[in-house]
Amino acid sequence: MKNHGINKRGLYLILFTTFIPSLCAAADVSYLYSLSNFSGTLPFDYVKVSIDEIKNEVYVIEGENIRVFNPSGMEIYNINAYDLGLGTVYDLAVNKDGNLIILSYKSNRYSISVANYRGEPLSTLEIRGLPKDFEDFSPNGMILKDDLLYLYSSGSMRVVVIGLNGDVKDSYDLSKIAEINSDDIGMGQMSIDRDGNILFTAPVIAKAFILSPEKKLRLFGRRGSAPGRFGIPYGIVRDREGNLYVSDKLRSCVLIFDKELKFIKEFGYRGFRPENLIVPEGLSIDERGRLYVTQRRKRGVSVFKIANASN
Amino acid sequence: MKHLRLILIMFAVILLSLGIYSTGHAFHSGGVAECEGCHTMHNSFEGAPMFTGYPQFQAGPYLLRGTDQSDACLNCHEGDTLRSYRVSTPESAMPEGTPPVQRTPGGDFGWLKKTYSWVPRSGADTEYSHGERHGHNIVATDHGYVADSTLSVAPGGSYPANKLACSSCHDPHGKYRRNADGSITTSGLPIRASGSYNNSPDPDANFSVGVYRLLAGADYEPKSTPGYAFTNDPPAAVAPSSYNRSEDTTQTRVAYGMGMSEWCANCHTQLLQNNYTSGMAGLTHPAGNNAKLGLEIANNYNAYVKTGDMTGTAESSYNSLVPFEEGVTDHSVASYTTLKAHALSNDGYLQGPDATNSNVMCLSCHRAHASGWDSMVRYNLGYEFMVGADSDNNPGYYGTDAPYPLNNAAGAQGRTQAEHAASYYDRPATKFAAYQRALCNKCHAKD
Repeated sequence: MKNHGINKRGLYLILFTTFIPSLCAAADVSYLYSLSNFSGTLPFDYVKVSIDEIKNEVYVIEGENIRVFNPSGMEIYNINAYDLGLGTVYDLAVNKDGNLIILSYKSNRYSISVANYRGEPLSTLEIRGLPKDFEDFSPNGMILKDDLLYLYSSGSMRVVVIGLNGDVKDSYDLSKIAEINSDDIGMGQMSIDRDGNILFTAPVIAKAFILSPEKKLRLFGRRGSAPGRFGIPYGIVRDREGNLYVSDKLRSCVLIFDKELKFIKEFGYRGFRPENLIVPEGLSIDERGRLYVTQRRKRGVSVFKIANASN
Repeated sequence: MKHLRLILIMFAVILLSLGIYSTGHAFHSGGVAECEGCHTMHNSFEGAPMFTGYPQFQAGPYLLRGTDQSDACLNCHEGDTLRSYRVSTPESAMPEGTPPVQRTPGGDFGWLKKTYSWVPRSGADTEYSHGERHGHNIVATDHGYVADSTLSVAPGGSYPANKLACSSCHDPHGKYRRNADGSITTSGLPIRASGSYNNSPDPDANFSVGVYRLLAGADYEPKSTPGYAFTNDPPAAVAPSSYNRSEDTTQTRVAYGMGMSEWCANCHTQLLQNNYTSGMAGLTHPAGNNAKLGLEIANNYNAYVKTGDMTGTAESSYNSLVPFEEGVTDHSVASYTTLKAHALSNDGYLQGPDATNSNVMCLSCHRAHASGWDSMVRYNLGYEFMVGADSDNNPGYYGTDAPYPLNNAAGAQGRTQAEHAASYYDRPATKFAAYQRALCNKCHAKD
C-alpha cells in the first residue's frame, strides 16, 4: 500500500463519495412562495428575473413590462417600458446607485439605457471599441458584475464585456471556445459567478460549461433520465458556496452540484404541487440563498430557500 | 494488491468515461433520437412518483416527459432567439407590437398567439385577425398552444383538431427512410443521417437517410390518434443547410421536388386538385404533382417582378414567398442531386419555373406551421395592398406605428411595421412596389 501512497480505506472512501454523492453533501431546499401580487400568484410564462442585491428587490422582465417585487416576493411596482419609449425589454440590471440599466429593442435596434427607479430614461450607454468581428453583435441578455456589464447573445453565443462608461473590456465567442456550432447547438442561460467565471449551458447536447476569466473551459453533464443526468439543461447559476444549480426543462427539475461538480441532489419535478416545476428555465440566486426559478405553463416564478447557500 | 490495482484502473476508466465529451450532434440525425430524450421509464424517484397525478410506477401517457406530445418537442424547439432547430417563439418574447423571431420556411408557431384588431375606418366595425387563424393549432399545454376553437377537424378532411400535435405530421421516431433505390420504407438499412439538407449524405448500399423533415409517410397511424392512417409518403424536398434566417438580403430557397400537396392531403384530402379545368364549377385551386403551371402561368411568374413591373427573366425570377415544385418524378439520388444544387440561401440559384414540369403546391401559398396572416398564407390577402407608399411615394410597410400615410388602419391591420416586415421575413419594403398587390399576381399577373 505504501508504494501507492494510498490506503484501502481511503480508496473506498473515494469510491463511496464519488458514486453516492447525495450522501456527501446536503443542500436543504425548501419551497418558499411564488412571486405574487394581492390577487395571488402571478402566472408568468417564460420571463427573466434580475435581482437587486442591495435592496433584495426582484425584477421580472416580461416583454415590455418590468415588474418589481419586494424581498418577500410581493409586487410593489410596474414599469411599462414601451410607454417610456424604450420598446421591448430584453434584460435589466441594477447598479450601485439604484438606477436601472435596461437592454431593450425598438424597431429592430437595441439600446442600453440607464433609467431611474421608475424606469424613466436618464442616459444611453453607447458601446465603444467593439471588435471588428463583433460589429453585428446583437445582445439579448445582460449581467452586471463588479462594475462590468456582460452583454451576451445566446443566438450567436458571443459575449462582450463593457465598463459602465461603455468601453469594451473583453469579448468572447463561446461557440469557438467550446467548439460547438452556435446555429446547430446554441446556448441556454448564461450567468457569472462570484469569481468571474462565465457559466452557460448547451441544452441540445446536454452539457454545462464553466469558462474562467483566463478562458479555460470546463464542462460537465451526461444525458440521461437518472438523478444527476441532463435531459435539456437550460438555466445555470452558482451560489456563494460554489454550488451549481442547473435547471432541466425536460426532466422538470433543478439539479445541484457541488463546487467539484459532484452531483448532490435534485428537486422540483413535474406536477402541480407548489414545490413542483413544469419546464423550469431561467435561474437566479441572491445573496440570501433564495433561488428563483422561471417555468412554463403559466406557473410563474417559484422561489426556493437553499439552506446551505447563505446565512 | 492485485485487486487494489484492478479497482484503481476501473475507477480511472469510469471517471474518464464520465468526463469524456462527445462532440455535438443533431438530436434526431434523421431517425429515432435518444429514447430518454422524450420518455421516462418508471415514474419513480426516491420512493415517490415523478408525475403528480399518477401513482408511482404508472407513468404519464406514452411515458412522455411532457404533458403532451408537442410539449416534449417544444422543450427544445422553442426559444426567444433564432436558432436552426427552433420553430416557436415564447409569448413573452413577442409582446404587443413585436413579431415572433423564428424565420424557418415553415413559419413560427408564435404567430398563433398574435391576435390583432383594428377599426378600418371611422364608424366601421372592429375587424380581427385571430391568432388561431394564423397556422396549424398544435396542442402543447405547457407551452400555451391550444386546439383550434373554430375548426374541429382538418379542412377538407376529418383529422380531429384536438389531436393535432407535432407528431401528427412528423414521425417522432423517424422510421421513414429514403433508400438508394429511391424507395421510402420504415425498415431496412440503418438511417445514417438526416436527408433534409443540401449537405446531407446520399443513401447508398449500406445506409439510408431520413426523409424530409422526419415527416410521416404511408400507413403512419400513431397510437394517440388511431383511424387516420396516412396514405401518402413524404415529399421530395431539400432545404439549404442554413434555413432559419432573415431574408433581408438573400432568399432561403427550399427546393421542392414533388409530393408536397399529396402529403398534405393525408389530412386535407379534398384540397388536392390535380386536374383543374378553368371555368368548371365545383373545383378548388389546383395543387398537386400534376397541377403543372403551363406556359401562361410560368411566363407570368418569370416576368413578374412586382406590381406594374413585368420585366423579369426566368433566370432570376424565384421568389420564396411563392415557391413551386420543380416536378422531379421520384426519390432517386439523381433527383436529390438536382434539388440539392437548387436549395440555397445565398441567391445562387434563382431560376423560375418551367411550363412543363413545375407545378403549384399547397406551400406555394401557405406556410406549413404558421404565418403572420389569416389562413396561414405567406402574404396578406386581407387588404388590397401588401405594401403601401410613404409620403414620398416610396414603398413602405404599413404599421400602427408608421408615419402617415402608412399608418392607415385598414392597411396596418393592427400590426406594427416590424410585424409586417417579419411576416415577409424582413425583406425591405423596396423589394415590392409602392401599393404592391397580393402575390397571387406572381402567377396571375392581374396587377
